[in-house]
Amino acid sequence: MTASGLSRLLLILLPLIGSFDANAEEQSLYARLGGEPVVSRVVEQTVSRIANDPRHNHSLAKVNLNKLYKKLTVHLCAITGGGCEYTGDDMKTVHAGLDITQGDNYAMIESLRQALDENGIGEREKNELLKILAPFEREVVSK
Amino acid sequence: MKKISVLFNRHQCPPAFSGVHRVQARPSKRIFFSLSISSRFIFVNALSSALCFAPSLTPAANLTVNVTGKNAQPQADAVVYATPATKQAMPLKVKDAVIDQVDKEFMPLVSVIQTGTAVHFPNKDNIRHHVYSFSPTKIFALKLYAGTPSAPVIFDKPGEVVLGCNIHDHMLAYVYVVDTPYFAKTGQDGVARIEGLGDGSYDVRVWHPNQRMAVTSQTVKLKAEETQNIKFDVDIAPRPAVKKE
Amino acid sequence: MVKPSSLSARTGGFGKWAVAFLIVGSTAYAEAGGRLIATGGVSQVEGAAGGGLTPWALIAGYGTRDEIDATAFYTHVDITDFTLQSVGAAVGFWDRFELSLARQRFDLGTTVPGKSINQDILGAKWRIAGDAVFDQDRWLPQIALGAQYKHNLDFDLVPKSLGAKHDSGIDVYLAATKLYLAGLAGRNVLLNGTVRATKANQMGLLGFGGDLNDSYQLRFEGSAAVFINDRLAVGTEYRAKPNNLSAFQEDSYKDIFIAYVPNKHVSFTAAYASLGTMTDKKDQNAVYLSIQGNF
Repeated sequence: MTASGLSRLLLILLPLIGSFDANAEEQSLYARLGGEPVVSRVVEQTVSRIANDPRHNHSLAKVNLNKLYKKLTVHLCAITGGGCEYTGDDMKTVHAGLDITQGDNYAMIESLRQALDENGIGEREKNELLKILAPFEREVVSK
Repeated sequence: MKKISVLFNRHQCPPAFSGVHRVQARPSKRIFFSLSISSRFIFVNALSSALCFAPSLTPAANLTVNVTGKNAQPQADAVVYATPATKQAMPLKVKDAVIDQVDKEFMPLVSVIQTGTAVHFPNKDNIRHHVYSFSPTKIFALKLYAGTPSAPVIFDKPGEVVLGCNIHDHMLAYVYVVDTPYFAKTGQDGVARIEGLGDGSYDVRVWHPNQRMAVTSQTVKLKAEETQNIKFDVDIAPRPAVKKE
Repeated sequence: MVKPSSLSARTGGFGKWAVAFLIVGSTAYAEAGGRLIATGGVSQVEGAAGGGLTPWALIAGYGTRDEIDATAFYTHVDITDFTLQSVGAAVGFWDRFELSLARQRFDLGTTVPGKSINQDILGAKWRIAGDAVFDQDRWLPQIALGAQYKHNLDFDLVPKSLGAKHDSGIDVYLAATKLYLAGLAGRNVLLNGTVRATKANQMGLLGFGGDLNDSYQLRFEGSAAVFINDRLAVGTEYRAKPNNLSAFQEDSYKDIFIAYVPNKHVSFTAAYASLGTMTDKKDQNAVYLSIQGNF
């Protein structure tokens, strides 16, 4: 097949973007991630890596990390269809005044991607989680 | 007229270390209600200011307390309070106190207040804090947001209250609630001064958050225009008191 | 295995130095910018950040809105009867502006033996709206307005004789890029559409304007890529072109490509392209190889 033929084929697939997953939702993202044991482990690995990174850990100074892991796990459970009830504050309030930069936020995302890889999470679940988390950037980044 | 004479006798200007305070003056009703709202406001404030800076019309007694701790060194942050020996009504003089949050610390570390005082938590930090206490004297939790004033917490029972922050684990403060308006806290020099006490016998007690055991009280007999000096020694534990969670 | 001497001969020397410079330069700096891997695109043949053929709305490099970041690239396109090389660099400012510089060298093969056409391209790009990565909950793509000032250094050699009117020109384009996380079977998908106003013949290698037409025309360019994983993308591109010269027909470019981004310091792109007619030679196909370094 020529390059133009193959490219025409690939261009035809464009309209199918997004429609593939419609029938695959038999399990929530939370369940597919592995539920509480995996999510809480991913949360702890993600945040503790940042807590130990002097370039990006300023917002975690003096924060009780164990309590943070618990709250964050519940929040992720709530936003990935795990059925948990998140009773904490909204992301904007939580991060207010912490002077989080875009670089800090990206570092946390990279750390999360790394933790997901280390825990054997599949590409699909990884990308779905990032898609859910991406819009929070506006509320988290204040500097 | 009885109310005004009581006012002159009992009025006491608040000690220097406490924060917000308001003294209520209540002139006779007839004069008061004939004034407009704004002039009542000005009247009350002018009256309270005048009273604050005017000399006491009834001579009062003063008490200076020296508190020592480890190695007989002056002990700061020790609460000193004097309760009259004869039981009497003790109206609330200083109605408000402030415990601020600055750079992820409570300020001040130790506060002493009278039962019924409302404590304000202004939160100077631009991040949120979550103040809580599990002390039976006052159990509460309060979310503090940057730039948003929160309702004060009224401490309605005497006793010891330990405060923490749910987000920043190291934050610690102590509130000691007493049933008398005659209280003070020692400064770095280990000295606490209580002023404006009437004649009579008083039971004087000392409390410090790191004390190993209750400090024996002392009785003093005060006379008008007299300043008495007493000393206390507190057995201070080598490590800071661990707050209960 | 290509012997060094013939690589030199084929690339005119600067290819070798460009690759060496990229490898040394990109690894000399430990800190890459803060943005996510692969979100700066690669360098297109005219120097702007984008796909291989077409500029995207992404800003070159990995710099966040607080950073300035730079990239450099070398591209070698082995065409049926010609060779095209491109080398250049781009600087991304605060994830908002981009400046790029590229030098193209088009070896004329048997059309004009021993001769090549060189062109300098100075590019600028301004991100005016949207964020391709973070706007997952909005339909708005990342949109950028760009321009490429091109100066053909060998206008008298061939372009003039073909009827081209100018030795330099400015292309202006508007690009819209969107990243769909988990967009296709759980994989991330990138789509780009670019509309370019241009008078350039074969991107300017054959001059600007011609006897058939000497005014600006709009042409569409599109890219679609799927990320197999965070570091590997496959995709296709399409670039329509004007036909200003009666001497030779010009066709659209198309390609399918694979891009590999092992880390934030270097990326590799390989493509198979169909370039249509170029000067007197028809059905030109090409193997495209590119290396980009990030500083």
